[in-house]
Amino acid sequence: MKFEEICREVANVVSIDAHIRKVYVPMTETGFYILLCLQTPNHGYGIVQKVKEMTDGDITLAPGTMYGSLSKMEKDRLIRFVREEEKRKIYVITELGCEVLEMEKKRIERLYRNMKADFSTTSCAGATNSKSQSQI
Amino acid sequence: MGNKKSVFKIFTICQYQQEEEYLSSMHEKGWALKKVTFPGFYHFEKCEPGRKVTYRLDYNQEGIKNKSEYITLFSDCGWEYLFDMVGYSYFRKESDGSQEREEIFCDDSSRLDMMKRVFKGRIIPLIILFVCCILPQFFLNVQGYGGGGIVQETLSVTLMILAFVYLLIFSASAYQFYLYEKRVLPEKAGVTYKYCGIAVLILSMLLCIGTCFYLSKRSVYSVSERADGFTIEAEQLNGSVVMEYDLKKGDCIAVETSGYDGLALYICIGEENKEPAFFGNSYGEMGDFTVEIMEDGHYQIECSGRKGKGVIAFDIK
Repeated sequence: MKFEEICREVANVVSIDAHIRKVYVPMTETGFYILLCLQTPNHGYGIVQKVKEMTDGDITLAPGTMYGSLSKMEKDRLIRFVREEEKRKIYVITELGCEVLEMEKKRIERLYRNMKADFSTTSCAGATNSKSQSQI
Repeated sequence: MGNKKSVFKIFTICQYQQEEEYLSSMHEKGWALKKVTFPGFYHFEKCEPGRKVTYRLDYNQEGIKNKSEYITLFSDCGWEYLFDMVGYSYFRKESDGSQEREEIFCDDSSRLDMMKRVFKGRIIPLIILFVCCILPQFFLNVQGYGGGGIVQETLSVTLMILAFVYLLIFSASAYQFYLYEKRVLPEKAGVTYKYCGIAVLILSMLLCIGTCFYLSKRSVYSVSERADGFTIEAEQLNGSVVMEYDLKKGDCIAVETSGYDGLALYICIGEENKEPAFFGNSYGEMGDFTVEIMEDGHYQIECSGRKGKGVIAFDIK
């Protein structure tokens, strides 16, 4: 099982070239939300609205960042142009984009797991200090 | 007071943030930006004062190519598109009253991407112009090619000033890039090294231009006096040599300039505060000639040159 996992990792590394790794791993929050949203075709402003909805209005993606990211991702073939609707370009994620998104998801999952596995021995978790020590 | 006003103001390529702040402060004072014309005329129109409007500049040539789609995204997000000016697109948005700053970029990495686009679109052409045009012109000029005389002198000073201005712009932009990259990529020690390298490069360029200019202005010559005159042997004559003699009526000064070559030569023989006995000015050597003294007195022989090389001899008989 473990061996298989390693094989899959290696296959991923091989299929995603150095440039993509350098630019998109790890990814900016904007980049991640764009790929996440483009699993269904959407345009730039659509993504802005969707992300606002998903984050209860906390994150408003700015248009300069959005336009720059979309054109960069299109150039790097993480997403592709589908059609134009009322002067808005509609994009959708590509297979390469999906791979990059999966890698990022794994990274965030690990981040999340490690965060939950309370390592803190200092003031942040002062009340649960003894408990965390026993876990370590 | 009229409803229109134009202000001349220069912002360098990387000073777009200062420009944004300036435009916002003008809007708050009641002057809304109408347009910008080259090289730095800001035309304003009167508007209601006291309103907080944020101005933002984007540099995105791809956006300008796909204009309608680019502008639609911005206007969907509440930004009013004003116009393009040499690659920069101007946007503005009225504050909705909340304290939050309105931005067209929401993370540092996209802000850095924009600076990279500015670098590619504006700074690289400048560097090419500088390296392929201004620098060679400057070197040719200080070497003395290109006519000589006052025109050439002015040109080489102008080119030197131009080169300094360019280097100043480069340093200012490099410094801005450095601040950004340092903030965005603080963990990379390479950033500091890179910019140290750029700083060293700019400094050595400065030093090189300064040295060349100094060398071309410097004067290297020797004057050897004989019983019956003197000889100037110049490696590079920039400036004048003055010798004084008591001469009598009937004395002759034989001047030999045929061994001299340079951009300019000026010879004046005469008593102080009197009409000179001889006065000559030429672009190179002026041949050999003899000046006869018509009156007793204390004479000055002045000889000056520009980038002169060779021998000038004065023999008094």
